[in-house]
Amino acid sequence: MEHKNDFLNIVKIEYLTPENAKFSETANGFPRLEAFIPKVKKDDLEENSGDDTPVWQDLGRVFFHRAFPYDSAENFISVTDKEGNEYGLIRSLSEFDGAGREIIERELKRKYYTPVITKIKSVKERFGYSYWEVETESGSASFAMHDTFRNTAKISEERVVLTDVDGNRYEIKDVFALDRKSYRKIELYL
Amino acid sequence: MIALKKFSPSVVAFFGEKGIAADECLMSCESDLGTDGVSKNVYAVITKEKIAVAEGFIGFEGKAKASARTEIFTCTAYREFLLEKCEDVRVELFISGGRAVCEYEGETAEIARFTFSCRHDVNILCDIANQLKKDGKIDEEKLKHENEDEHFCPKCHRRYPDQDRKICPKCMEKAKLVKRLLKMFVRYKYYIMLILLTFALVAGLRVITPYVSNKMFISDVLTPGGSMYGEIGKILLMIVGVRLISLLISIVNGIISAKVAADVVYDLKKTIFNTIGGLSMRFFSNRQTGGLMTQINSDATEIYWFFCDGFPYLLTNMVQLLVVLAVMLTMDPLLTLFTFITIPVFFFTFKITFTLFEKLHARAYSKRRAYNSLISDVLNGMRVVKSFSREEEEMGRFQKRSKAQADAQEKIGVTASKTFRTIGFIMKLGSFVVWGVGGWQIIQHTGGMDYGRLATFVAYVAMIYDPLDFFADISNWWSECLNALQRLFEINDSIPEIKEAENPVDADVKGDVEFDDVVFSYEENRTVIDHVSFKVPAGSTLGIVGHTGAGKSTLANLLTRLYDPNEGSIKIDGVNLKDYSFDTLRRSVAIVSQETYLFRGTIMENIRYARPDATNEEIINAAKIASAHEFIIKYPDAYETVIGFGGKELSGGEKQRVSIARAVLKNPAILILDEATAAMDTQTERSIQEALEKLTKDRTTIIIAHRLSTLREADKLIVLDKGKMPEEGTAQELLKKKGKYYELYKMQLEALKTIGIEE
Repeated sequence: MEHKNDFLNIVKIEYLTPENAKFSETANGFPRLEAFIPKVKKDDLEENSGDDTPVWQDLGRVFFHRAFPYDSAENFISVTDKEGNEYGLIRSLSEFDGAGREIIERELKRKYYTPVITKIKSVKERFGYSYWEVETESGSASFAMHDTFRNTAKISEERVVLTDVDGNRYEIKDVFALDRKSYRKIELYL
Repeated sequence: MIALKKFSPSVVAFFGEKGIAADECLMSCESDLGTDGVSKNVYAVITKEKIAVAEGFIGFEGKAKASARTEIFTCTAYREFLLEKCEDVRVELFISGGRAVCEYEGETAEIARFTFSCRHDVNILCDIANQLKKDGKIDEEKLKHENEDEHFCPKCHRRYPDQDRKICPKCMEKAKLVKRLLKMFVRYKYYIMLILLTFALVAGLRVITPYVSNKMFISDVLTPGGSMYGEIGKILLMIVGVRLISLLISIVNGIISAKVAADVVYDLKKTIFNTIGGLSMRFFSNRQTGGLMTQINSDATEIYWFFCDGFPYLLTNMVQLLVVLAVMLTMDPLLTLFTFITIPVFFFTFKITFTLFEKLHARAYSKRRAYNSLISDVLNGMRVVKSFSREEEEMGRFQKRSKAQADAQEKIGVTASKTFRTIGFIMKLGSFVVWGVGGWQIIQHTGGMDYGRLATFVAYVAMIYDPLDFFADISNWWSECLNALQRLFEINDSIPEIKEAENPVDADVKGDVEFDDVVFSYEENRTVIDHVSFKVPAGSTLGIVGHTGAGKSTLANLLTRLYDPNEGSIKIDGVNLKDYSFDTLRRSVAIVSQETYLFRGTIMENIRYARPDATNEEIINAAKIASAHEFIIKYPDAYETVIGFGGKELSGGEKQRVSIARAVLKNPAILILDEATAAMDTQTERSIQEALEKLTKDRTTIIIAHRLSTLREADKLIVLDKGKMPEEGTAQELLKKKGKYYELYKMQLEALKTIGIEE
């Protein structure tokens, strides 16, 4: 049965596109945004003028946040101020190119930095903690996990994210693509 | 000097070259991520003038021998920040790490990057930098416990996984654990001696049995010329007698050990439940409480079985093995040696089988867990499943997990029947060797072998194999038991974060409340209360307004001392909250919160919970004040209506009214109403409010509310916004100010206007 999607018109998502958003860098290399959007209130006490006509304005430093960090990492990226208030969404990274895109991608890479495990050398269980020795795409690493089963998040059938005692995340893109020995070591927690 | 990390000589030398001498440093710490996102050694120091950060790699030069090597620090990036130009040194969090930044000459600048492993240290770096800017000095006393040595296991130099408890799971001493457990057994030392004695007897008798029933029966009774030739009745009596005695002793032994083990486990549980009661809220919010209870129970059971079943069996088997070996060696050393040929093979097969089975069981367990969680999930959410008509999908999911679970179970069964048959065969092989060698000896008439001896020997061989499979398994069982023991002691050892003062003040408080520059966060970097100060004179009413998540309930948690503030102080009658005895606090402060919790039991019991000695009249009075009397009296059992399981389920508003009655009965000097009337319809709220007004008169009351109308009677209002307190004053003053409160007021007024009500 065909679903009616007429609710989509009820609210409008504010999208940032190359036409209304220019990303550049601050003096120290942080992402900065100039956008053609309705005037942003500088602080909450300012009277809401009710004027929604867009103007070009320098919003200064901005932050990025993925709406679907696993399912759709390149799409629906929220652009916010430092308090987390949203200026707008980027529908797809591919709409941008050149320097702007580079800036966004670099910042996202920093924020979502997660070592990808390619090989599990050893897992030792001791008194409720497990000690892991692994190879990641950026060198070998060792970490400890508490309550291993609960801290092993199954994103999908094959994708797994481990969270260690400090809160660091490690990702396995495809557990079935691991070598047999590595797979056996993690199999128990799946 | 605060050394979160003591630098190695090459790093000290590097900073020296940059003009920063070691004795100038006020603090030093390490991070693990470069600003380019690569894992690096990052070193940071703070001096009186600046923050200096060096990124690079530690390498070694020279001989392969560790002692002769020279360490070299290769710097890839170095930066300095003059403290006088730094503003607002802070941490920005990423997903799996973050960065320290500051406002430097009007621009945001990055000081250092880190992963969560170094989060705490970098936080302290920021704290110290800010402190230096503000006061010109560091409060060393407060940071003393942050020194490097305190955070690492002295043995293996790993960080403790849980900083609040200095236990390194890697180096934890098993011996200590067992010692502690044994201490619990000390009370039963006579019982235990009795148990050991009966063990020895049982084992001894078991060894005698084959001797009597094989050796004596065949060699002495059945063989012509034997010492008891023909006396079958006598030997039968002897055989039965030996069995009977051993049966009796086993029974006595079983009874005693069951009793002792059960008592010890009871002791253990008792101490643990006692500790749990004394723990701080943070302990419970960090763990799932339900899981905690199951864990305690199953762990205690694990220990029970080990000591009631495993340990006695181990002892008997050990004694038995030693005695049998001794007897066999005296009977025929050569044949004993032959028996031993197959023992290693046998032992290792067992060891391998058990590791295999452990894995299979663990997998079956995790599959079962997944399956169970799905079932409870779907059953709890049945309304949602049905309303979105997703039954089929859920059926599919169920079948998939159910299948996985069945498969895992099947695999265990199949493997078990395969391996255990094989092991049985290997065991038989051992006795075949004995049969062969012994038979050959009888035919050749060597070694003084006869039928009786051979039969006895074969019986003994079986007795050796018997304990072996147990030994192969016991190491696993033992480590499981230690694991459980550790978890129990872990809870037992948890130190409550909120401690009663050493000489606590006991007093009848008047109710002057003062928050003085309070800062609080549940979790590092997420400040919930940000420098909040206010005063509530005794007898007056304070209203707290603000958006959801502004930190209103946290203020209530702080005032009831479920948590202690990170900075600043909270005072009642001018005395710090921390100095009061728990008893005084619990007596003087009562809270009715948005999450009401009623215990299983009658309504009366629930109200009386606040004061067990309250009379029935007082209970009705309290219920009337809370507007609860009206609905309670309508139930068939009135005040003795059983709430909860199998009984009557109260609605949200009814529960709130019962819990208000509970607080009223307590008659505290300070009353906190945290959205206490939120789940009620406006009419009930009105009627309750009239009663509450009488109650809050001449009583310090703090009312937290969304609806501004709830706060009409407040003497003073404070507005919370993202943990900060931008405004305070009376409603009139705040309206005139046209700030946050005005905005909230206008919004709610507009909402009322749209439905045609004007206030």
